[in-house]
Amino acid sequence: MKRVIITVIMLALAVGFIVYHNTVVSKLDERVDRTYDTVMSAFEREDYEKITAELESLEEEWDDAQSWIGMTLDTDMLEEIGISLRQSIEYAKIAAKEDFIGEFVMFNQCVKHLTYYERLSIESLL
Amino acid sequence: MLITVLRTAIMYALVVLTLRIMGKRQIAELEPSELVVTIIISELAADPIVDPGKPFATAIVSIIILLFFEVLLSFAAYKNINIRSLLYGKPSTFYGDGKINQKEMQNQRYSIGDLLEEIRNSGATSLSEVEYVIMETNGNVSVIQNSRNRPVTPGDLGIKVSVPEISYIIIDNGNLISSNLQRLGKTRGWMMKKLRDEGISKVSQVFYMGADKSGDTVIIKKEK
Repeated sequence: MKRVIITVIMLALAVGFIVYHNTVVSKLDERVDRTYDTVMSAFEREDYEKITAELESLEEEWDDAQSWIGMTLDTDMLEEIGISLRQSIEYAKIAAKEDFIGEFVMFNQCVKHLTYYERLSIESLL
Repeated sequence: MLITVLRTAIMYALVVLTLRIMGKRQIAELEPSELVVTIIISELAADPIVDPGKPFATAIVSIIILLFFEVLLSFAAYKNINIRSLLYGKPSTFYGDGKINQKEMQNQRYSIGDLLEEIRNSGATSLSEVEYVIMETNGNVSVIQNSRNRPVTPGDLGIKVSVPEISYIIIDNGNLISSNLQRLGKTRGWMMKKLRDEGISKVSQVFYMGADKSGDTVIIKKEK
């Protein structure tokens, strides 16, 4: 019986970790969605200062969330997303229109990919 | 490299804890489901050690979930005979009452050559010396020799023998195991007297001391 209790406690900790991790990823996803809308409308106006400010704010939140998100991501994927975000910021600073939009859309898709794996679906199961 | 060292230490502790919680069985006596779980756990633990780029938490969560299911199912099997049959199956009698159960042997894909091999391993030479041959749920085959061929026991000869006493470890490599001393109903003073009789003055000088309830002791001094 003691064995069962210890196992249940360990499982509860694991479930707690999974729930918190999911929350962090969901919050990041929502933040990226809001940023995407803001950045795209600023992009249409060619307001690169606004874009840079928004992305730098997002970068701070990404750095904070990285520790938790990194627990279930390959280091390569994590670095790829981080590099993509930094490159987007640099392209926005020099107003490199085509380079920026390509890099930013890729960053957005990579983050969407994170939440895809957090959800339960037949595709991800198989 | 430091990451690898740290991950190895953490995974080692987790796997030892997991196997400890799963229970005391030797590898050879594991049920098939337990063996599968043990192998999966070792694979899960090795992955993030070998590749520091792989996420650590995923392996830990997977190991905990496997542990949970294993403990839960083994607890359910302990409480419920139907679940036990479903998970572990039932023993298969290949030979009994003088007859070979060919259907059961076919079900288990066990040939007559395999059967005779197990009989020889048990010390018998032919089926005529054996009463039962049973394949247990963990895959081990038990051979029960018939009474004409099994070794003679003192009971067969009408000889009275004393009940064997279990020997308990009192001192293990310089460490006193007080609980065993209490179990034997002996005191520390008794123990020290026994040691002094062997020319030993301290517990730390002893490699092994064992004793049983009748007071028989074995003392081995540490080599210098």
